Amino acid sequence: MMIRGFYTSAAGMISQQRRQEMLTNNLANANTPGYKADSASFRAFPNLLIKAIGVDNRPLGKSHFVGELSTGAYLQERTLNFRQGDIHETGNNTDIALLQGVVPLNEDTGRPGGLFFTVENQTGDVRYTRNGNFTIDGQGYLTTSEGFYVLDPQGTRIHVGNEEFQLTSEGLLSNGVQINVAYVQDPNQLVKEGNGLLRYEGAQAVNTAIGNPNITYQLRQGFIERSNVDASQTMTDMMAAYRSFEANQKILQAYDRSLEKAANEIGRLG
Amino acid sequence: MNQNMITASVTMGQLQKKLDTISHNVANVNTHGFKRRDVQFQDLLFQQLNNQTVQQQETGRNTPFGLRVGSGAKVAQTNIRMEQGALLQTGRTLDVAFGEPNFLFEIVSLDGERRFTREGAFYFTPNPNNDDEVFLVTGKGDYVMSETGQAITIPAKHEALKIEPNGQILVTTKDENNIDTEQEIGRLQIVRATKPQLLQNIGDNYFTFPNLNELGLTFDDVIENASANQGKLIQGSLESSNVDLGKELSELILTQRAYQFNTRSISMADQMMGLVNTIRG
Repeated sequence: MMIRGFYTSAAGMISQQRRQEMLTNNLANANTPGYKADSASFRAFPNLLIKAIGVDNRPLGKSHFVGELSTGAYLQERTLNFRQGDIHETGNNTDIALLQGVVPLNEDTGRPGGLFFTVENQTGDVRYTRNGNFTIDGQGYLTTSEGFYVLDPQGTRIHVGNEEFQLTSEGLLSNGVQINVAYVQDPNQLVKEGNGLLRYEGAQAVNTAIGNPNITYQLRQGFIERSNVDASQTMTDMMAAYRSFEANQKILQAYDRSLEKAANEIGRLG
Repeated sequence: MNQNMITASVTMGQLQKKLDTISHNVANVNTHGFKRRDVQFQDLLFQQLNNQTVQQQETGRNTPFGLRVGSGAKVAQTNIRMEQGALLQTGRTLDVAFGEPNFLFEIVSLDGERRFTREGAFYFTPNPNNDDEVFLVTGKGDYVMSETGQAITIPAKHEALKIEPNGQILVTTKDENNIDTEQEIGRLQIVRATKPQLLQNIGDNYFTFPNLNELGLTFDDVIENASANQGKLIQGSLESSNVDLGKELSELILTQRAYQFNTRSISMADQMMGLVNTIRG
């Protein structure tokens, strides 16, 4: 092994690059309704235990273990921030904002669960979304902008006919149909798929929040939940990630100069 | 190319589309009967990246394994907003405005495609085959359709013309004894768009529908004929554009800033690539 720090600083550059990708995507979605920002968690690579060899005549009581060495970090996970986005009035009858109220804490994670609309994608699977920028398809069903059906608590499609429907704050339509609000106990198990959709990968069943006395929520027709990306915070984080990338590059250069000395100057005669 | 650059440049292209829509709205702030459009975004596909394949070592994770790398945002839909525009009193006989949203006049089609308009500024044009008659036309010269599907003809020498709230046209003419008589000469064809999101702008303030057969729909699914007490036409007025300049300009500022943020992402990605190139400086 030549110089251990060489790969450590390279790992630092790669992880900052990954973080920058994430922040760029957050910034790109600063105007996407219902978008939940990602936040990065880094994790150190497993530590190495360094042991000195050939030091049999070490001082009394001193161990031949030198200590631990970490060989860098990587971007382990991108956790979704489920903070409520701002509510923005559009006046459009097919825009519905979901305002999360009191939701019980999850016993395992100690964090509140999440509330989502349920939609049916093109393969007939259930997906979750907070993007309430809906529309009506040709047959009169309430759908997302991609044409995925919005579902009721029984998992059936919702027929509204035309745009002139009224929705109560509980999610009850004028024709008596209820828009489902799903209660996900551990929202960290939701995975982004794009098109505003979230896929649930957890083991626990997702129940409806409708009629659950421990959950409060409000549906607001004619409003939209904005992205919860904070553009100035994201820009600051991007600058920090950039400088961290630069610092790792400088260290890489320093190692390169050490190697240069080793290659060209050690053992030079005259 | 660098993922940062792809994400930011794709999003900039889509933000440009929003800027285009805002510009179109602002440009039509004085167009009578114009209906604004509203752009909303959506996130693009996420790609699963399994950067740590030894899952046993991924201790302390809160989320499912791997990373989901996004690729920017796109325009999800451009909704037409049918809300009523302010009424502008002109006092002109041939100006009529709808007092209720979603209603449209129909224009006589020359090519089989049905066309509709919300602009009620009509004019007369002489009938080349009959000097005693004039046609009722739009500003572009297209015939306004009557309830029977024909062009509306009006006696050239008339004393007064009245358009009732339900679209009935009453014309007062003098008979040979110089006595005024009022007669109904037809009713304007008025439809109500029940699925206004399907309306397509084709210019000249006209709307049309896309190929409804492809969508499995008929005209009965998207429009209905206005009944006798619907429409609430107001003669002597025009409906102004429903564009709110203040709202459009705030959206413009917001979109322009979002565009700038994405340009900063590109320049940062560029500088990072520069750093990689100068590792061995």
